[in-house]
Amino acid sequence: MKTDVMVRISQVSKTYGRRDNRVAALDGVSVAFPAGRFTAVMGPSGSGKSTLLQCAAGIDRVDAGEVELAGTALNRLSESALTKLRRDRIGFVFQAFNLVPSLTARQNVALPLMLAGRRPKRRDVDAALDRLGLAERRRHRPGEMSGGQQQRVAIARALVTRPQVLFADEPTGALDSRSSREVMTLLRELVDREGQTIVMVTHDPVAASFADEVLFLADGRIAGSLEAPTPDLVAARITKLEGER
Amino acid sequence: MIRIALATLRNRAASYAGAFLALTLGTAIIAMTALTLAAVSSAGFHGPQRYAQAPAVVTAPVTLTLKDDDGDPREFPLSRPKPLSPQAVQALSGTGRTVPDRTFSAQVTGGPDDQVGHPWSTAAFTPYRLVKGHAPASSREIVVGGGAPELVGGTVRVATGAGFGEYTVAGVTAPAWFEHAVFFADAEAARLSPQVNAVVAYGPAASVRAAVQGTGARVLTGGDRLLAERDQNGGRDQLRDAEGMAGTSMMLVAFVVVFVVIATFAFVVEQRRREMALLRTVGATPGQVRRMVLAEAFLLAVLASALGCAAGVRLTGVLRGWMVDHGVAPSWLQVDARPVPLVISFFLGLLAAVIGTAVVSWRAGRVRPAEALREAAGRRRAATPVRLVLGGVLLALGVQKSAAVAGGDQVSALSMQNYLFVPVLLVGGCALLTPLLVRPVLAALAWPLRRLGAGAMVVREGALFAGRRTAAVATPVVLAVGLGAALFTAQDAANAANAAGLRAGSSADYVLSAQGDGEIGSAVVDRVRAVKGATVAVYTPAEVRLSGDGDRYLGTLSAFAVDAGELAATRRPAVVGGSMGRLGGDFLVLDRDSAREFGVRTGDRVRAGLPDGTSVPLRVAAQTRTTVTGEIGYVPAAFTGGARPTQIEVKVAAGGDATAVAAALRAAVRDQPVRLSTRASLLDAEQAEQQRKTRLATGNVFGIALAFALLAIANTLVMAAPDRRRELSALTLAGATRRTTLTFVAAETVVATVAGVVLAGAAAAAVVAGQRAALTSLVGGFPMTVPWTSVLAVTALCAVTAVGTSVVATRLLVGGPAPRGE
Repeated sequence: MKTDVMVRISQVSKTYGRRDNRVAALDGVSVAFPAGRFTAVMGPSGSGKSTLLQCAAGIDRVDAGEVELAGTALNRLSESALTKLRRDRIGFVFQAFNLVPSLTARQNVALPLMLAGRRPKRRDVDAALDRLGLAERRRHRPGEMSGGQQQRVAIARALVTRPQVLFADEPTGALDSRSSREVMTLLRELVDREGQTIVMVTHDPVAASFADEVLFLADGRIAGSLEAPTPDLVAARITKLEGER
Repeated sequence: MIRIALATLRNRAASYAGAFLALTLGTAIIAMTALTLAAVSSAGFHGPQRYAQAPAVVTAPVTLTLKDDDGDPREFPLSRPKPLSPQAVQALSGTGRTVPDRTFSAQVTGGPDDQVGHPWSTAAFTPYRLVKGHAPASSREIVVGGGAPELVGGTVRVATGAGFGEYTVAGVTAPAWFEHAVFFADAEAARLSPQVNAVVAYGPAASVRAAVQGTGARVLTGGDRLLAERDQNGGRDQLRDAEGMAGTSMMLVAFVVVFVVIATFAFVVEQRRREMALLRTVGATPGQVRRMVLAEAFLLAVLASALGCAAGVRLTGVLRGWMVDHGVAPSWLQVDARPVPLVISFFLGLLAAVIGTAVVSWRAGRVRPAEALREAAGRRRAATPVRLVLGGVLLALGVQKSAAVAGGDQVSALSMQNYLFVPVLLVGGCALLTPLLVRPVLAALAWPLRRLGAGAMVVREGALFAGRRTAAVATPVVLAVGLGAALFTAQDAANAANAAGLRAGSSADYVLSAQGDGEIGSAVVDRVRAVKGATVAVYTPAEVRLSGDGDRYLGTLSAFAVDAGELAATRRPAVVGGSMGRLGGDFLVLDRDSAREFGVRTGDRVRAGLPDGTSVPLRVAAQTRTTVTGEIGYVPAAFTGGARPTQIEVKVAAGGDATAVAAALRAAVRDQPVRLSTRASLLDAEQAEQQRKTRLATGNVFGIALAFALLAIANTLVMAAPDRRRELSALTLAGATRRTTLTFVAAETVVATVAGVVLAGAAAAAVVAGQRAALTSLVGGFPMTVPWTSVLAVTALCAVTAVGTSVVATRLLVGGPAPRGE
């Protein structure tokens, strides 16, 4: 199956910390995320998977290398230009939901549109919420919703601008297994029905098994991949990777 | 976007309520002082007052005409115009109804210092109307202007130049703002003060003018009548104390408020960094985040400032009442709600809030979203570069100003009004640098706690870790304690230096001074001069207007007319130019600073306009060092220009009998309105009175600022309390009881307060050291005292407020179990 590349990462490095205690989070990673596919990124903790995602999504800057999103190189964009690009073309879902606590579900979903200077149509916003089964929760604030509901609001918010790529950083990390399954099913449907490109970081083999392909990361480098993953296969690979350290 | 701004306002209610409260009260007290300052620094009244209903006032010349720098003539009012010549009075009697007016010192015992006597018939054309009793019917009856109704019927002692007299109060009038009058029967007034100061003429203006033609008298009508009045500034002279106090208050209050409001609004933004990062991740540009936060602050600040201005208008009544009750302002003072001070207060509050927000949000908006989300709640740089630079600049300016005063303008170190810059700059600089300085201080303070186990560890690490919160508590403490300690100590030092300077400058043994603003009668002068075995120096205050070539005005000097020999026997001016020996009959001795200001040098010849307008030639014979009294001037005893002596200084002759002199002096002033005291006791009494007055003023000025600083401390702690919920729950989960947790919070607050006090002490010490250097070069050594009671009271107030608030707020806000992750 021949597919277009949505996100291309070439020779990307990123280090944290000052001189004495440098930690290389990414060490010359090159990878391409194809369009219309659901890719999971896995690896032991500290393998650089979250950094990879944040760099790919433009919410963090790389030290060296190139990040290209649908043909646009991110490195040379100013902070404002980068923000605008993210706003229009990227959706991001966090483990910690990161909803604005003072805003209702509807306001949270409308927020990216408002920030982009567009007048959000109530119909669109409500449709986004309805699609995620949140029709009853439109007027609720984050504090009044369960974790699963909050994460679904976050996904609705990420999708409301119709982004080319949806990035998800441990989207099920703070959820129980039932809520996790619901959220993952939802993401899978987005890919199958609407051809949404999704890149997800996770440490949960079950969540990873919803993806088309799993990419393994260890010590800031690519350590293999797995097509058509199942929870058992993924778990075996992870255990092996952790054992090698 | 506004909707988002409003929604977040709702969410951070505690923080915003705190910021709102701080700004509202801050603007209110700025508005209060600004309105009061505006009221006391403008003339209360315009045009003729006492003579408002007199058609024409005939006087001897009341002005002296000199030339300004451009050669244009300028009229200066005379402080003691000559009496009207008898020929003029005689000539006027043919023009119609005339009323002779006399003005002389007349003090009712227990009455105001500046009471003056007038004949009762002059009350007709002045604003005085009887409110009780009747006009003086005999020479033993008087009417007291503005007197209490209970006085009527009673007998009072009245001191005049002729000595004491017993009078029955026949009536009292409503008060008038421009003087405290005592009315005598016309004949009695003529007996007490034979000279006629002015005649009010009711006849046709043309014939009045014709009648006095050639007598040298001047006919004043319309607005010119003001020139014949005592107070020609519309009451501004009576407002001078109030103006000084309001000015100092305004500066101090504005400084503290702007400082605290900036810090408070900055703190609110700091608390919201995570939220701002969150908005960045969902696609807000740095600019959008900044604009949103600024819009919120702006909305809030507009409301708070407007409310503050409204409250400030009401508060003026409180300040006015205080100033009137304590004799700082006259009771006629009115403080109106004028637009300009209100607009200034409004924008000062608004600007402070916006600046505080802008500085922090600029930095917070720039952070990349991923970084911002990662950042731990604590361990952040507590000081922005802007703050550090500004703090450094303030400190540098303070040191520079302090050095400038010590190196040249030492006299300004005597007056808190003039010296206020130094404490404000130095303490302000320290307060700004608090986040930077607080760490080493804390580390040093917390070191002894190291061995005291887990509790001490939590407190120490907590205070160090949450440097931002610690600094936020310590900053107002630095302001309050620093300013308090600096102002109270510097004020005491100024008083002590003043006393030391006066002691050093005088060699007299006894001082006789007129009661109140009165004068010493010639009978008393003669009797004192007759005392054997003593040198007697009679000092007559004579304000002289100096002019140079071509009548060019040089300046006005408050001088004393005194005999050269008597001066040398009783005072020791430090001569820095010329010589005090062989002064001759045309000498002018003045202090160096005044000479510099007037542009005269030793040996120069000048003309001096005396209080009654007489012009005499003088020679600058000597210059003295400028000392605590500020300007100094001496002219020959003959040049009193109609003024009366107010002080006699007596030096017991070498080998003379001090006891006999004292007894003779006592006899000379017996039953006279003249106070006899030894020089030492007089200086002590003056110093005590000075101390009382200045402490009162400093206490009031500083009290307003202190109240606000205490509020800021409480406010910061209430605002910070919710942020600690998670941390304190963790402590509870780790096995700390609620009681232990509260103890931790209290201890942490104490540590922050103590750190603030240490910094405040350093700042205050720097202020006092600089001032002492200046004063020492002015007067030599003087005893140093620190008013520990006041300083400790301020410190205790800060500590109690801080600990009380933090414990109560923690108890109320941090009640339940650990909250779920958001």
